Amino acid sequence: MDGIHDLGGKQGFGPVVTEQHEPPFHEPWEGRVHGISLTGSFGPGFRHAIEQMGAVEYLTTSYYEHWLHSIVERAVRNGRFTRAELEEWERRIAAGEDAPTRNDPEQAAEVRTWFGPEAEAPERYQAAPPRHASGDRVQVVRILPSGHTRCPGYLRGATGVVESVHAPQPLLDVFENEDGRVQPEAWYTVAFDAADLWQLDEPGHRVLVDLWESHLEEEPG
Amino acid sequence: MSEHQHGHNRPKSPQQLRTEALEALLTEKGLIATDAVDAVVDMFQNEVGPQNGARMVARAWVDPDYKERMLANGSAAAAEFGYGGYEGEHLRVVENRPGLHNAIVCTLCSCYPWPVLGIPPVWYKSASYRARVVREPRAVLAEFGLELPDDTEIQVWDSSAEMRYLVLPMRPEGSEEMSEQELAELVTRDCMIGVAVPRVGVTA
Repeated sequence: MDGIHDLGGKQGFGPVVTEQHEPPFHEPWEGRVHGISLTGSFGPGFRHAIEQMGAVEYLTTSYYEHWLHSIVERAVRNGRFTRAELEEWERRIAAGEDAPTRNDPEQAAEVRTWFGPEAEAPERYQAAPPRHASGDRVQVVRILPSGHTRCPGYLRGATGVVESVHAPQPLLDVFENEDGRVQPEAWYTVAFDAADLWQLDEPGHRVLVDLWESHLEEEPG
Repeated sequence: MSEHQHGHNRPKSPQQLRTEALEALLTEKGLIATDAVDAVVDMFQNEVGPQNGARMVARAWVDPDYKERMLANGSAAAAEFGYGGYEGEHLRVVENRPGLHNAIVCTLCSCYPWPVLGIPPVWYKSASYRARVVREPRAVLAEFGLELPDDTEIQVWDSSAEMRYLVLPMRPEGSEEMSEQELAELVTRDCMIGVAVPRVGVTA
């Protein structure tokens, strides 16, 4: 999708603003959004829902506002609740009502294993053998999906060199655009000379991007 | 929920109100559990953060065999410390060397190696960093106070979901006598994103 989220190489954003001793969450609600997003089930399309926010809203809202938007959009779309129900709870909370609580010690204990040694190993997938090998010159396709894609727009039509080849994983373009359909493909880390992508104002560098089979032409042009 | 401790007099921001309503509604429907959400928050506030990546880097500086394993398979090297899982299933460690500097970004969203670096800082998720670092890394790094010589090669890794990257910075001069634990304190989050390099006397 040629959305505003596809920011690589865009100009006009000014300096990078940093913050000393930044906490993981700036407000308690940000932590709650993170926890709700990870422990709840709202359907596929987490990233694409954010991309569909609208350019001005996307640029003028924070990361966790993006997440909040994505949770609500998908939850409503997939029948978890209605907007009217959410608004009703907003009125009740604003009027001072206490929110209900509900504990699930089993799930809470499972969360504590997510980043530890018991974390699940990534699933292995079967797919067609990779069409390209390390060192091959490859060309990125010109036409990218109008829905979600993991190929940044700045690579459209660009030529690079395969740096490494990886075992198949589901193509997220398909997963997010087709309601969670799994289409495993080989994927690659591809190195691009930045001077082939933009007119540079500084000495050159390389940009390395992970791209899937579907993002590459069969033969470089 | 910590929000309760603030009482009901302070006006809530629209984001806070919406989040509290969302949590209440999902709880009422049995779709989330308060203690599970609490656990996620606690994990990111207290357990999963850049201190994890720093321990790996310090180990690599003192143990050449570990460094070799780390560069060959970052996920396996993280697992040796018990780190792994969500948003870090495929971890690749990229090494800074004399004349070669690496930096990481996600231009499309904000992919980041959660198990070893935790939650990304706001600037990493900002439009400016995501737009600029792929195109003008030297200018961006200079804003962070890192001026690289023109003949230093730069590699910018644009994470597009599956693979998450961690920069292995070079061990700084003057750290020869330091213990592994002291070394880990020099390895800041920014060093592992690649917008800074470790210096003796500068800690996280």
